[in-house]
Formats: sequence, structure tokens, C-alpha cells
Amino acid sequence: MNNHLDEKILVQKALDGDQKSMAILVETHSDRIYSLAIKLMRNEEDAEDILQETFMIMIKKLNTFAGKSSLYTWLYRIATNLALGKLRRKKIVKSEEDIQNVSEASYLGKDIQNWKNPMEAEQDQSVMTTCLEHAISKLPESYRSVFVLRDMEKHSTRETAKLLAISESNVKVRLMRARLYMRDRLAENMQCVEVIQAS
Amino acid sequence: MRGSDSGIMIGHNHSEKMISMIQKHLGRDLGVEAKGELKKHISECPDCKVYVDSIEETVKFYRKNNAVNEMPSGVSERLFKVLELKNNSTKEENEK
Repeated sequence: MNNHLDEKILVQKALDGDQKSMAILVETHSDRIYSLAIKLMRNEEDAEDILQETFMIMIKKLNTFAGKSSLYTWLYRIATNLALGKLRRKKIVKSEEDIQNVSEASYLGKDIQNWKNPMEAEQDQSVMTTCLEHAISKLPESYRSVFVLRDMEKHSTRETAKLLAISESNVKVRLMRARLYMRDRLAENMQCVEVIQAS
Repeated sequence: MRGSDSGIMIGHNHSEKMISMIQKHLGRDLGVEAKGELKKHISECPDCKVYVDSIEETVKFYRKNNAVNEMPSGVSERLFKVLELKNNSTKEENEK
């Protein structure tokens, strides 16, 4: 799909009952929605549930899509809300205390003098991705959602606050803590990989 | 600011204003004038330099390694089945 107009036509055709257009809309956006879901859920089964539920809602509620934003933005909000709801129900709050201790008062985080720049590590892409995924999986949910939306999906502070229904200052605090946490976990993971590869 | 014998800093007595400026800078929310003030501070404070550099490099790292996760085999097929739609793509067929 090349532009907004094409999308508008496809949406209209899908609303008129054209199954092929509906399938094209699903096919166009499913990879990115799955990618978002896996980043938030850190679990393939849950991510697949979010994917399916998102598109079931799309089919059911497409007539309420006003077309003010792109269809992807609309689907993105649906998927994010579904993922956050699921995470809340699962009560994934592990190691919440650890990260809460990273406050402005200790904002340097720990051992910064020994910090290793992950960009300088000569690892292949799959190792880097594994390190990153491992570090993200250790982030408590309330921080992970801010981190994924703000830093990885590049939403603004305002958009992130709106998506998560929290204040902008809360987004900023959580982001700061999440970044410190990620920095320290990535540095640790890089060291782990080096040990594994050397053994 | 205090340091341990190992050289690791254990405290950082900066004003809230400076810490807030650094957070704003990292969030791309800092105005031009304040940027100059922060730049000057960072050039004189090795701890803040390491802090800002390390956070910026970390953000760069995960943005660089943030690929779109491909759907595992069968996910798309199951999606279309649940939605009762016919997949126009030949991707799933090619995987078989």
C-alpha cells in the first residue's frame, strides 16, 4: 500500500463486504502489529493472541474507524491497549522494586565507571538482538511499555502518556529509570555473552 | 561528590535543576539556551559525561538492533483462519 488514499479505498471496499480488501489490510499490518505485541508481551503465545484479537476488533469495528489517523495508528492503539490489559491481568510486576530504587538521587545508576559501550562490542546481529531481548524481558511491565513505546517505537512523551493513560511526568520518570536499567542490563549481558563465547 | 577507593562514584551532589536538564536533554526536550549551559557543565564534569554518553549509546544500540520481529511460521495462517479470510499472499504456501 503506497498512500493514504489507497488505504482509504481498501477500507471502504472492506466495509462494503469485499473480503479480498479486508485480507489485504490484515496482510499489510500483521507483521508490525505482531512485532509490537512480542515486544510488549515477551511471549509468542500471548503475542499471537494480541495479533488475532486486534484484527478481530478491526473487522468488527472498522465502521467506527474515522480515518483521521492512519489505519496502522488505529490498530496500534488497539493492540497496545489489549497488550497492556493482558499484562495487568497477568500481574507481571517482577523486580519492580529493583528498578524503583533507580531514582534521581542515584541517577548515575551503578558502576558507571565500568560501563561498556555495547556499540563497540563486535558481535553478530543475532547475538546483539538476543542481548537486547533478554534485557527487555527483565524490565518490569510498567517500565517496559513506556520504554517500548517511547524509545523503540519513537512515540513522543505526549503520545506515550495518552496511550498508557498516565501523566507526561510519569512517562519521563519511568523512561529515565528504564533507560538506566537497560543500560546496566545490556552491559551485564554483553559480559555474559563474552564469557559464553570464550568457554 | 564522593568517590570510593575503587574509583566508582557513590554519590552525585548535583542540583535538581541540573539533573532535570540532563533528563530533558536525553528526552530531546531541552531548549537551545539550556543546551549550552548543559554542554558547558558536561565538559567540566566527567561523571555527567559518562552518564549522558552511556545513556545515549544505549538508546542508539537498541534503536539499531530494533528489527521488526518476523512472525513465526504458521502464525499468519492461523490468523487468517481465525478471521475466516483467504490469505492473498503466497508467503505461507511457499513456506510449506
